[in-house]
Amino acid sequence: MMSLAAPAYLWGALLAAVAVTALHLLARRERRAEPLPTARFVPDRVATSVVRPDRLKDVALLALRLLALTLIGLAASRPTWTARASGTARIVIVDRGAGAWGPTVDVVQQLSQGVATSLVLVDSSARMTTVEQLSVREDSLAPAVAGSMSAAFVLAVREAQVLTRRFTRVELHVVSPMLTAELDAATLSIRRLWPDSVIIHDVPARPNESVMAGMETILSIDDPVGAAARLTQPIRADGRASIRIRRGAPTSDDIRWVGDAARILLVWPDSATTMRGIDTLDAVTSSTATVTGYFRRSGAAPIGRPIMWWSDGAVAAGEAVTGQGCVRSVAFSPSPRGDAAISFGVRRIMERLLAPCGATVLGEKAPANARGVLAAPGPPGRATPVPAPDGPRFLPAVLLLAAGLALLAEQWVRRPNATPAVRA
Amino acid sequence: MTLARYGPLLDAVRGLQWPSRRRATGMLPGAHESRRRGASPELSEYRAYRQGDDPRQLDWKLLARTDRAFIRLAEERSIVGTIFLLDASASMDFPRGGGNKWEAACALCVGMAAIAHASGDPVGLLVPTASGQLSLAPRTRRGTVQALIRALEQVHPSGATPLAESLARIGQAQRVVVLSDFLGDEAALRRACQPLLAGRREVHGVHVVADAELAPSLGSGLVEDPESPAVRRPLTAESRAAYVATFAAWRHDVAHAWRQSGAAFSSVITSEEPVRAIRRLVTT
Repeated sequence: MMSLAAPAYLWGALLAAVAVTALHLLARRERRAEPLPTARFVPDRVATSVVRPDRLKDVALLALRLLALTLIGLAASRPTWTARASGTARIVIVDRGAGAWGPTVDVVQQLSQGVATSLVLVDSSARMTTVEQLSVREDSLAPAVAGSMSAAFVLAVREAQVLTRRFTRVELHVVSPMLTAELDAATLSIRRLWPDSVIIHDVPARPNESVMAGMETILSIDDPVGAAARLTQPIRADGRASIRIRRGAPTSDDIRWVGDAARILLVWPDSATTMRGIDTLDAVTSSTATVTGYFRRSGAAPIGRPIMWWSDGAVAAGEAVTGQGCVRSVAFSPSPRGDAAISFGVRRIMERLLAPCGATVLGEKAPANARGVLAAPGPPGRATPVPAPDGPRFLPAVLLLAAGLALLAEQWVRRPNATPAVRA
Repeated sequence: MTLARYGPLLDAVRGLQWPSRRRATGMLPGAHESRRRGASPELSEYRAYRQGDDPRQLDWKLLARTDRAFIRLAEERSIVGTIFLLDASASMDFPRGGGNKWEAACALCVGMAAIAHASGDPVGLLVPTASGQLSLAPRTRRGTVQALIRALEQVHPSGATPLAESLARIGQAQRVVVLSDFLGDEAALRRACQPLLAGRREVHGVHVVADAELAPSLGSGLVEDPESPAVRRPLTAESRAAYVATFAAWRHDVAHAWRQSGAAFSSVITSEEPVRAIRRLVTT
């Protein structure tokens, strides 16, 4: 089935064809002169008297001109060839990065039964896949990551343009815990490209990988770091803790302790050097949270891979692998004044610092109202996704080439008929 | 045109005579009456001997019988060199295809040349063309007519070459035959013939006219002169009547002018049988 992106050009070409036909019919041509050696004896009158043809002449010439005009108009109207559509198809956005793998696969398999299904797999990137590939993939071992729903929606809309060529209805399903970290400022705008409603299948998020086997602190009782840490991890005094928090330089015992098992040594700056004169607001950001407060920067730079940054881009915390565990050095301390140490932001920062080595913190689920906005139908009057062309993309070029050939043939047909006569 | 094409024509004109309209001035004996009186076997008259006469012409037997000297006079006959001047302009190629004026002129030329050649007259040819002048000097030897036919085969009428200039190259030919439609330099040609006529030479003008010129069909209604494309005229029923009258008047004027100048003038229509036309031409 051919569809035209700019049919006005075709209509214009047809109007021009009508005009050409009218000119062809109205053309009054001078008669062809026949040789007569004694023509000088014919009375000299106006030799340009013209007559109207009593029947249509040069039919081939007219046909070639009309054909060329029509082909040019058709090529300018950007035609596309699409197949006849029928049935229903589904596009399923599979949140592999944040969703629990088992429930996610179950939902996807239910959705794909008996219906043509295209899968958009989301983790650190968004890509197309199939149900068969999804079943055999060992995705449960993949690290958790908060993907981008914006990228998934873009891919889904693009896939819908392809599917609408063959299906009359295309549904969009999202199988995801729909975390806040997966949404961004562009998500809602991109989702509006989808004119219909989005069906969200809520699945549980990946288990909280930041749960460790307790912690032990080498801190003073009034240290705000200890207070913030205790809101995240329980204190374990039986010597089997997997997290150790201390201030100042780590000892050889700390290094040996952290290297023996999958443990974390969290090293904070010495309070005596950092707690004085905190009078400037600053901001510390991680992959999941940003907190502002009265922080004093430490003179020593954190070691290892950066995991937190100051607002100006300087490294605020780093992670260095040591044996089976890791040492995380922090270059700031929360203010001891007020309840800043137990604020929501500092707790999020602490969750990141106490997460297992190399792990990612997924964050929380998106608010219910945000999920509702995403699931609701798009604004009224929005067009359905334009079917993408599945015919040859070079169809306009082929039409233009055919028009050129028609014009060449027109020259070839016209040449034998060329006479000195001119059209009136 | 081929030699075989002229075969029936040459057979039909065999035996015809084309006497000179004026007494010939040639020295060589031929078939035409000469202006000279000589000692040929054909007795004409006796004349009393006058001082200065050739003693060899004395009739000695009559002198012995009558004791009076008489000269035996006889009619002299001599040849007449004939040259044909053919118009090969584009207007002669009408109507297009067979049966045009050029073919009719060639047939007349070949037939009349064959008659003249059979009488022992030297026959030559002059055809001014756009690419140069085709010339065949007058000769009497065998194969002259065939050579003339081959020369004509090389010519295709085109252009608008004047004929008058070619008259300067006719040499001593006693008889000049101009075969043309006279649509070119007719006046100049006629003026160029005046010295020839004054020199007691014989000039024949043969006006070749096509039937389509006498009664042109309306056709597309527009006609053009092939030699002058700028001349384009609408040919309608009423303009054709005027054309026919004008053309007839012009032909009459041309014939009258040529005859007034002392030349023989005849018109030949392309539809006329060449043999019939040749018989008419050589007997007038």
